[in-house]
Amino acid sequence: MSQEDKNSKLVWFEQLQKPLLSYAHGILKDVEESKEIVQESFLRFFKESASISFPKAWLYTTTRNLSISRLRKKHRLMTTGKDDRQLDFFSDSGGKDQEHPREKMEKEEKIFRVKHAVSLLPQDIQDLLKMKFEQRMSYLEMAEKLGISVGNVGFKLHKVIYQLSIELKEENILE
Amino acid sequence: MSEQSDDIETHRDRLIKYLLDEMEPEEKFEIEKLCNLDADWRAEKKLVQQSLSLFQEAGIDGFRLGSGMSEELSFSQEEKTQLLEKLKNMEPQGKADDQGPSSKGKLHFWAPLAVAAAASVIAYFGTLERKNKEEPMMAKADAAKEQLKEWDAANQSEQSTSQESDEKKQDSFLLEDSQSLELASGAKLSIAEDKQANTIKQVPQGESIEPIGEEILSPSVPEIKPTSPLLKVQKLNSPSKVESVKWSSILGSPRAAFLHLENGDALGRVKLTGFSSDALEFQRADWPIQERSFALSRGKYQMRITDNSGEIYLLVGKVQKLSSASRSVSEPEQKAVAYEMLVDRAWRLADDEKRLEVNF
Repeated sequence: MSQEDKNSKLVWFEQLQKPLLSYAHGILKDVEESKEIVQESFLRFFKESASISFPKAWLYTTTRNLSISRLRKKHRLMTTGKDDRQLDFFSDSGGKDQEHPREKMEKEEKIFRVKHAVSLLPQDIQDLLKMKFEQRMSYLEMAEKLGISVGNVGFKLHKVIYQLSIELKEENILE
Repeated sequence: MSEQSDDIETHRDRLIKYLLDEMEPEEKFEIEKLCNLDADWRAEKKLVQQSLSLFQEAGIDGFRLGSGMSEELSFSQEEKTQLLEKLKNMEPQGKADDQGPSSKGKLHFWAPLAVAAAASVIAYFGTLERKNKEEPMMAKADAAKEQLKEWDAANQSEQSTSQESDEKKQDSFLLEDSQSLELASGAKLSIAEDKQANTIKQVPQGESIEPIGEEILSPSVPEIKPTSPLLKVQKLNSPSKVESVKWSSILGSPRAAFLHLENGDALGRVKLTGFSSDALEFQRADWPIQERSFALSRGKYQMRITDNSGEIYLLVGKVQKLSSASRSVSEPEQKAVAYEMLVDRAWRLADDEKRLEVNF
């Protein structure tokens, strides 16, 4: 690995160590384990001899997979926050008419990934997304509330939606 | 470039606006028509739709992360220093030192660390016997530590033989593993053609090394380095590792095709307009102003193609402008700037994003 490659990887480390910690913690709910996982992700990243097309996606995917593997390894039960149902990731059992626990977990994981991505955005963009997707406001309502033009609302919103779509696609979260 | 970006953004803007129900009925009708007529629009729509659906689901309970998530986690200064130290001192597996032109020939392979891994690799890939008889790399798999030294020594001496030995090199695999690591489904020795022409990189085909107990982990997608003639020789010499693919059906009606720079930056959707045994013809898809230049500079690019069954293929090759588009394309498409990709290598992406080399 050339010094240039190494420096470039170190930049990724500086940029993503905190977000990845936060991301791993969202899955593992354990600070020390999250640190171990993120450390392992970066060690693998630096160990990888071939250059990586999408470093950010690579690191997120690796962190996610390592975290899930860690959960599986420990056969930890995850409690869904809202209704305290316990979700056993590893069990194949489940009601026929219910969503399979694994699918449910995957879906929740995707949603968590989106929330995590949103949490890293500047506050004004987060506010826009909240207005649109939490409060279901129209562009016009948003523009009036924020005192900007409808066009500006669309511009900002579309840009962030598309950027996140690309990120999610690179991580294979979107098909 | 900026005009091009503007057009793409306009296109995406319209699609998102449509999907968020922020359009006038006439405009909606136009988008629906475009989506009905054009597979690329449909694919783009599907991508944005999936994304919006996740946003909407995330918005149901609010975007706020759960308790404890708002606090900013970070490594302590000490942890960070230790980790940085490790990372800085770390060398990639199978890495090639960038020694500069004066010491081009000096290679350092990170050799296998454990007997088990060595044995499994040899069992999997067959003999690692090198064509270059003067420099046998390794003969047995029962002494990994010995191998390590042998490999290192062999690689260094090999390097001194420069290009001659390059042509004779066969696959070389990276073996790691004091922790019973397991080897990937393939690994290639690739030689870059650039200034580091003698730099040898071991490029695992997809996910390579996983500790026991962990499942699919890194989405290791090695980026393709410029292909040397050696790679072509290797392709021919190792048919067992290369899948055959029916390209005519894939390229005849792909679900989607995207062009990327060699570094992975996405350039957007393209439309395949023709193909031959070693090349693809394509144009920018969804390019609203056909008279305007798509303007790709000559060089290496990657193309990601999804077939109708959802399989994803990755092609890498040199792209150059064609004087005219394929005769088989329609008149409006002929007006557009057409390009040709001379395919060097191709992979199918497995579910876990492993690259499985395929013939092209």
